[in-house]
Amino acid sequence: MKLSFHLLKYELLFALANKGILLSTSFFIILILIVGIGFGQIGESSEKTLLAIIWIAISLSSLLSIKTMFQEDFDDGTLDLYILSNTSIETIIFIKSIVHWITTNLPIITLIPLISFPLGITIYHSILICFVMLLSTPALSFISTIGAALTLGEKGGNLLISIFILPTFLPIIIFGMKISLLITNSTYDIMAHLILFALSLICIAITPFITSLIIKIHYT
Amino acid sequence: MIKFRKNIWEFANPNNFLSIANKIIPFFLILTIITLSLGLVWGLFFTPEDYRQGSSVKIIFVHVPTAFLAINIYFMMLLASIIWLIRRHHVSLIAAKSAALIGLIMTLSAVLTGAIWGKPIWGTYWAWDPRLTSFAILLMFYLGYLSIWQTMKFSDKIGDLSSWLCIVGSIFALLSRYAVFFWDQGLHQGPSLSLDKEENIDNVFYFPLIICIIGFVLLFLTLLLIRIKTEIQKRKINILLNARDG
Repeated sequence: MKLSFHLLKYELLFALANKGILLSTSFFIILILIVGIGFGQIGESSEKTLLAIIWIAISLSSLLSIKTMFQEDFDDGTLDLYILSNTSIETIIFIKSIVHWITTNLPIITLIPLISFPLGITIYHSILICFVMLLSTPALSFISTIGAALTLGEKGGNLLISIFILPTFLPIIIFGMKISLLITNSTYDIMAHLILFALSLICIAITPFITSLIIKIHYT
Repeated sequence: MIKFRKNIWEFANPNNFLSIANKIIPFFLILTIITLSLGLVWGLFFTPEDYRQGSSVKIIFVHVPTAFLAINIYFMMLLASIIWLIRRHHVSLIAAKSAALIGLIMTLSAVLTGAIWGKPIWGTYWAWDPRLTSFAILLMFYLGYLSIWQTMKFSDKIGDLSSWLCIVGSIFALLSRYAVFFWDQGLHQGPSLSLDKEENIDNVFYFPLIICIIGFVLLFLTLLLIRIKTEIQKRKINILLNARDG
């Protein structure tokens, strides 16, 4: 337990020192602006397109620094020591995913009211959308660890991660987009919210075990 | 005369598999040609035209079997991957690998024939109907599975990785499928473009359709056996080349 807290602290400090937050938020803002400007040129800039852009941008930016999550530890042998240590590899994967979520998705989610307010979604609705995202985006970070584990030790694995992992985001993106659209129409479907959060929780519960099994393949 | 083995696990030896596959393949090939030509000729030339859809209904004899196979080949890959992970059954892994491309082609042809059928009936080649969307999802997972084999060299490690990818992929493909269906049946009214064809199909179409499905399944099995055979021989050649080069 003590080791887990140390690891959490170390990973957070490491991510902060690497300016990960700055990079992910700037990537998100640039993506939103570019797609927004593109849609503006063809005269199509409604709330609907904005919601779609936000969800797609958040799923793309949660793949950003995923390649380095295990790769650096794998290259310099830290991962070997993690596997040999008393702390289970699942715990380490859990901590790494949480840190990944805190450093990439959380700053983006806090930006969303700032971005969506001037573009036509009321502040109340955008805060509700933020809550939906807070509860559902951890699953994106957890799922993408599977991709990081699959392409461990593979050169140019970034493209492969997108090919493997982006389709698996679909259930969460579908539910998230639809729920956000309903929120902007001031309708609330409790069942859909519950299913989305259940999906998120299931992903959080299961993926560390799958990822650890995949990582162990590289050590046999 | 084929000598029957004690159990299926002995086919894990590629030589046992090859000796039996060589005897079975011509038999399967002839059976496929007979069934497919019977089903297609009966279906395309000797069935009446639908009173609403005209002659375009006849594409059902290609569309339904390919769609049926596209879904079931993924299940077959999943089963084969699980067998590889549990029993280290090499032929099973090669079967999963070989089936993926056939599955991709079946998915593409189902989508393509559906588009050709959709244009005169619905007025559009593609609509974001839940069933069409779930085929798009299936296509993505086939592409993901194929790309891991295309980019990495064949080894047991990649076999494990691809099997896990297949398992994870099938979980999320199922989840996405139900996510897509949830909205169209939960909140919105049912889609006006329904693809439930087999519910109210007449016997005139039913029997040739069944023969076509059997024919396409046989076609898949024949192609799969040929591809597995090729793959095993390719691996043998690679091993020999590596041994020669030291």
